Amino acid sequence: MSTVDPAIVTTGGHGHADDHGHGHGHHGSFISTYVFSTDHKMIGKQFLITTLLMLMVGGALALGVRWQLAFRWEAMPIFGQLFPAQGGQIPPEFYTMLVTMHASVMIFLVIIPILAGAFGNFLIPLMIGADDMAFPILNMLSYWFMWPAIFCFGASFLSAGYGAAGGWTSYPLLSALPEAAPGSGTAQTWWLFGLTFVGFSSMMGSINYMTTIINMRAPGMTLFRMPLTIWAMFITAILQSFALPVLTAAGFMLVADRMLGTCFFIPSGIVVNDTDPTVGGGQPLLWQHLFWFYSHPAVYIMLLPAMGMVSDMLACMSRKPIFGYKPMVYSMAAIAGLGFIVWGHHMFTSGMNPALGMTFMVSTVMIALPSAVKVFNWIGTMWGGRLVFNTVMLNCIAFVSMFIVGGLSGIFMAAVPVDIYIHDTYFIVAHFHYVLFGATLFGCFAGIVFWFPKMYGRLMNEKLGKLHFFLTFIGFNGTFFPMHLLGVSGMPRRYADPYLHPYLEHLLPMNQFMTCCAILMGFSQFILLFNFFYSRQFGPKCGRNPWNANGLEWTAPSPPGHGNFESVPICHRGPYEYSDPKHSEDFWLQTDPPAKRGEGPATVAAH
Amino acid sequence: MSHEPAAPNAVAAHAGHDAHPHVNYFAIFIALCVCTGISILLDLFESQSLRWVIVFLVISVAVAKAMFVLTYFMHLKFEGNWKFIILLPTTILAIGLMVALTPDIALHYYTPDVPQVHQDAPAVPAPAADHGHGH
Amino acid sequence: MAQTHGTTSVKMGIPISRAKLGMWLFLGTEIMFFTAFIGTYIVCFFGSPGWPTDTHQTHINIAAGGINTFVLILSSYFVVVAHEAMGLRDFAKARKFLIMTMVLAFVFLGIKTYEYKGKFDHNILPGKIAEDDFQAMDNVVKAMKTAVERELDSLIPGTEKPYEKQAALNQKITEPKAGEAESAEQRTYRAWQGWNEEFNRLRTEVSGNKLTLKDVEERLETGYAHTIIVDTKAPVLKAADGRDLTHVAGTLEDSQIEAYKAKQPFTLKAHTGETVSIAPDNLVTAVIPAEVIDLGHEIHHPFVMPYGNLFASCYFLMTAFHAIHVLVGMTMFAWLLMQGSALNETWSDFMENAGLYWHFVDLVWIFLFPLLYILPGLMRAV
Repeated sequence: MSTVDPAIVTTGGHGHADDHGHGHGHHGSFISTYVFSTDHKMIGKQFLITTLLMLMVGGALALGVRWQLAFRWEAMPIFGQLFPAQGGQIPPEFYTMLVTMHASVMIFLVIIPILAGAFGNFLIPLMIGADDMAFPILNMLSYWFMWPAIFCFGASFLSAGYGAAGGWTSYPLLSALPEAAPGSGTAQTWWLFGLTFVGFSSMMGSINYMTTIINMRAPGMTLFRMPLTIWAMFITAILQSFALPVLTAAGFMLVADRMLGTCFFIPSGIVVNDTDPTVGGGQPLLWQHLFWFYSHPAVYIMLLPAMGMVSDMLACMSRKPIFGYKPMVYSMAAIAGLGFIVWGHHMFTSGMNPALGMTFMVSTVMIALPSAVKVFNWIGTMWGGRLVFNTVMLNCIAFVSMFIVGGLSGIFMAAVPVDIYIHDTYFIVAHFHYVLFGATLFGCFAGIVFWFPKMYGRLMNEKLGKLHFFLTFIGFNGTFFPMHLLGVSGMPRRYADPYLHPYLEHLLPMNQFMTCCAILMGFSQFILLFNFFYSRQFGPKCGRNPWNANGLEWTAPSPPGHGNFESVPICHRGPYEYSDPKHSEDFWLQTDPPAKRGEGPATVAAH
Repeated sequence: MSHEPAAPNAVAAHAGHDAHPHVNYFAIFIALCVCTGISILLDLFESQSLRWVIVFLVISVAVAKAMFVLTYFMHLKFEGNWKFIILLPTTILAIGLMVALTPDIALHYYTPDVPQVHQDAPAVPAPAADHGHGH
Repeated sequence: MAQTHGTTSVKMGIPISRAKLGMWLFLGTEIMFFTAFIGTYIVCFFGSPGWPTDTHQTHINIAAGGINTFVLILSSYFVVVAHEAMGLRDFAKARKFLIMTMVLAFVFLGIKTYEYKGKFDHNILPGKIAEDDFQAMDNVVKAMKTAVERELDSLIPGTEKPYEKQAALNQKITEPKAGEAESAEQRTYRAWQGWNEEFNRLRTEVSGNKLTLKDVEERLETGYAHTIIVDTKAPVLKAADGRDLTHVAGTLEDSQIEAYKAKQPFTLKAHTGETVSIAPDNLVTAVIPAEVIDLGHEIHHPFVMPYGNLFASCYFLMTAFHAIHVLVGMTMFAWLLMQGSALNETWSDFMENAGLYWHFVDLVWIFLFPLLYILPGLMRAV
């Protein structure tokens, strides 16, 4: 990479006063400041708090699932009372609803919005030195489209049949024929509407992010001086905007199948519950293809931003430049590119054409390469660094290690022969929880602590943070590691009572242990919530740059005012110039002008 | 509202726009009409042996029309290389999706009817009595 | 962080306005959106042996599609002219061409409505199309049931259930005392009863696998269409021997119709089983084959269209989403036009983006037209 100073042209004359003069001293009403705000920081915080609350809802649903698996058919606390049930006992349809809605809430209302919505909104303009998003009103709409989605999912709960129960994948015919199962009626329709609204929200967000990152970077912020978080957000937005429309279209087709009599996914001659035979000639497999065309890239949408944020935090807490900046960028791009051509590995047992199975197996195994590059680079970043073992770092290390476990188990199921054996068993459940919870959520926990000072001007409580981390980490591994063993023993997913099969009876004690760990993990999230809201009010105040980090966001006030920066930041170097011998401090802000004339600053990734 | 005062910039950018060479839009319009005429004429042309050639021609005409609209009406001829960055991945994905759907849906190796009949079985609907139609 | 205020820099990124960049990115997502529909259509088309290609059957109107293509191209042309005029600050001209674009958009939607109406009239609707003989016969039974019940509703208005109404109707028929002539209403009721019997007979025979589609078709053509229905306006129907036949609802065969037309006497087998000979003179005002309760005529001729439902699904969803995009584009132009004389160069960006969107809508139709209208005809089975 060139070490030449960025082409900063001095034209003199007109300044940026009119660009930013309007920013400060702007005091809107309560409604325009806290509710219908167009300020990216407020929208980011709205997303963050909404998703944290949804995290608790999704977690409660998961605990319901775990309760049933450990103490089958015993009165379920809370859920047993909340929903019409006999003596607190839940019916099997209720269990499938729990599974479905846990996944839907966690994926569509927690993971995707917390990464893209909360961190993306808050960080993108700050990290690239912009005063706001490119389209602030669109940004506001993207948050407010989350609420119809939440209401639709909520309406699904309250519909007949307890709620959508077709799995978050909602495969036809279970989802296409209202008579197919108790949860396939209006509950499924509401669920699909909710999905559509989430889609609109994500779509507006991703177009906004792409435009902002492409066209609103601060002077000197070349593409290869962008923090990896921004690269990750950018690549995520690309994934989202090109994959999501396909799911939206497929969702419309499924809604039409249910409500308008079309038959895209309904074959002819199906008789369910004494209804007339269906007419049509559609193909359920078509839905699976269209669904996974979005939802596999969505797996990376749920991972890449966390990867980017962890890269930033690891470099900062190791006080070392990120190891291999450009390979990190290229591997993210490769993950995104390959991510588009691997969706078929979800369908190995669906009766898909075997020729496709082979193709998808090869592409899936290939995606391990860029993922491994990233893992090696994280380890390389930490290697020989002066590690600071605070909450941020602990969560980041958990991210890397859990991602290794989840990534390795992914390679198993990439192979068709292995997948046929472990498909739809708890091995899969273990795998994606290691990636989505173990990696992404630990990354988010780290990110919350790391950027909390920028959001609220205060530091989060370190002791509570560490307590939360250790309890969550122990609870997480206690819950999900045994799932590998369950899966290999052949315990299927989504069974309300797997112990009806004699070969699974001996797994009950292990499931009870897992449920205890899950309860521990679930309740330790209250520590996070408490820490969040307590520190917001009473945490120690901090300056602009409490972590001695390099990024542009740390040059803005904490919290930044409307318009973010007092003046347009000018970027002179990459974001990872930690412990540079040419500089007196162990960090080197991106905005610091070069030390001496003629002595260009060393850049990241010169190797 | 934190709109950058974009209006003056936009107008300035616009002035730059008009600098690009004048396009005879009417000629493009005529070309598009001719293309539409060709597609309709191709439809009237019935030949079993040349069927795939005609299909190819019809699609080509549609692509040509699309290129006319993109190049001139949507000014892509005068835009920078970013157009490729936006449109190329999209086009590849769009075609790729259809290609990936083909082995399963367009060339499926079993019939989608229920009960499933092997491909070698006659494609005509099964005899009425087999349809379990008895309500 | 000391920044000198007098410096500006090269703009990072690409030299187009962020609105336009956003619009292009949005159009990229729109391409993927329509790809899902068009891709589904293409793979279903090739993956369904016997896809409906006969335009007489599918009521695909190539002329209408062609005209619509022309309309959209012309409107696209008007939009570029309007945009060009905006660039030259000729806002009056821009408005004029925008209005013409709006008119063309309405024409497009009008033609689309006409096409939709053709399909609705012929029941080319997703979920309604018979794909084998049984479904076709089933459709006839359902249509007849609908017609019979609707007729019953008109005879006995109210919210009662059909069987209650039928009981009420039977009551009314049995009321007249012996020797008295039946009233016009009662004769109509009797005619309805005849129809109801026909319906029940058909339903039983169809569900009992006693009929083929050909039988049903024949019955529809020769039977129901010419069933003798009592005309309430001229309630006298006399047989040749002078008997009052007003209560008789029967069917005419082709030879009988010929005879009737030629004013020759003929014999008629009534529902009651009796055979009566009829003198045409008495029938002239009495037999109204298709007026009072003309159920046979309104029942769609049964047809079998394998994969017709999938075809209709694709057709309607693709064209409907295209039409929704047309409406969105029209909204953008309407917004511009609502500025009235306040339209000035600050709207230039908006105009450009609305234009881009409109051209994209045109672009989608450019692909929908050959795929929906031309390709099926070309792929007609050998």
